[in-house]
Amino acid sequence: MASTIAHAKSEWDTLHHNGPFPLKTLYITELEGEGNLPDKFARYADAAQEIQRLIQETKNAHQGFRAYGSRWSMNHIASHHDRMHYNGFMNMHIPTFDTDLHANSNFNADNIFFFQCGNTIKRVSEVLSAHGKSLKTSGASNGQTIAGCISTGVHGSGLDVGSVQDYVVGLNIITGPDPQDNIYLEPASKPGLNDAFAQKVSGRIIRDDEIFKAALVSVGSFGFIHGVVIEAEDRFLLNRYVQKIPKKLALELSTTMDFANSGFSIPQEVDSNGTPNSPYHYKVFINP
Amino acid sequence: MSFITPKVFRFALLGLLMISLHSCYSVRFVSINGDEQPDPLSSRTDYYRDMQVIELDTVITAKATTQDINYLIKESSECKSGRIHTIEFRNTLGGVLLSAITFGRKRKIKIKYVCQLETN
Repeated sequence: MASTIAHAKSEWDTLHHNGPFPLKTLYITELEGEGNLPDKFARYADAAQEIQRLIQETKNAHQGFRAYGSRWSMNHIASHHDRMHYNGFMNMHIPTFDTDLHANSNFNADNIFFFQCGNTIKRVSEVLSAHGKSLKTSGASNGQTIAGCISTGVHGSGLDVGSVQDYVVGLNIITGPDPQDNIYLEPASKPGLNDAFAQKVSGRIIRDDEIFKAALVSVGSFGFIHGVVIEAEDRFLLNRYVQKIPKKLALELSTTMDFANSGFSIPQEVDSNGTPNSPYHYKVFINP
Repeated sequence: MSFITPKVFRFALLGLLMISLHSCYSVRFVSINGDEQPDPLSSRTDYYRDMQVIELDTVITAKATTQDINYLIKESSECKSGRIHTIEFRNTLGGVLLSAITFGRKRKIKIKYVCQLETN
């Protein structure tokens, strides 16, 4: 079964040294070997059980508990003075299929992926790329864990894409030591996976828009995000254009983002009527 | 009249320093795929920050005819996947001199490597 080593510590710091922050215990959990437990759902459930054991242990000690991934967030809230858990070794990918989709789901099954919390953006991108897919957006680098990105609201620079949390379909959150505390959470208005799949990864299913939104960017406070379901899209390649344009127009576009009605266009990037397309990303460089 | 004047000494020292600088270098190969095996307990602040680094600093004895030496990367707690992600070879003046003095019989090996994180 998954195993955890508890290390006595006195402090913990972010990668960018925003701390140090006080800490008593650092937990590091590793999955059971694939050879010993080949079934992915069984391994995933085994890891969940281990996390719940740690939560119980922490609860018995009247202490607090918070999970972290690559510790890239500069937010001081993303730490706990009692116990913290390192998620980086919890990096399973469980494939999903057409038959796993909820009956009312409008998602394309090919775009739905289930990852355990500790997968890095780099690893997620590799898995997606092997399926001809891509993340809709990510931060400027790729070392963050997927659960960390969601919890801390990591964003990219695509104009109409949103942030990492905006393409989350569902969350598997562990909020306590009991079976019903292992929750699969989705918005009721936009269900993704069916009950049969959700029951394989959790002990309770909640479909609620408000709770789902509250749990997304929760900086680790809403529970232990054990797994995430995300929506990917087809792999894409961006064309880059760098042009010298009047400062007034550049700043006007920055404010309005109304490229269709602006006097600026790139010949290769217009529709059949000659109307300028909106860019994926727009940035102004000023050389003083 | 002494041959080693302060000027000659300074030039010799500078020459030795130059040779030392040119002999002392690192070459690092980094895979663009996969993650490095992390070490959450690491306190390193260099390139290998947060990575589980394995360092090999030894002298091996080889025959004059030995062309290559295999060093097996095995699965261990520090290298769970048994696969390389990053490897750094460091050459030093001491290593070059040792090899030269012993006619290649003693070879200094100074290597750091990081394994790939297992995928699941």
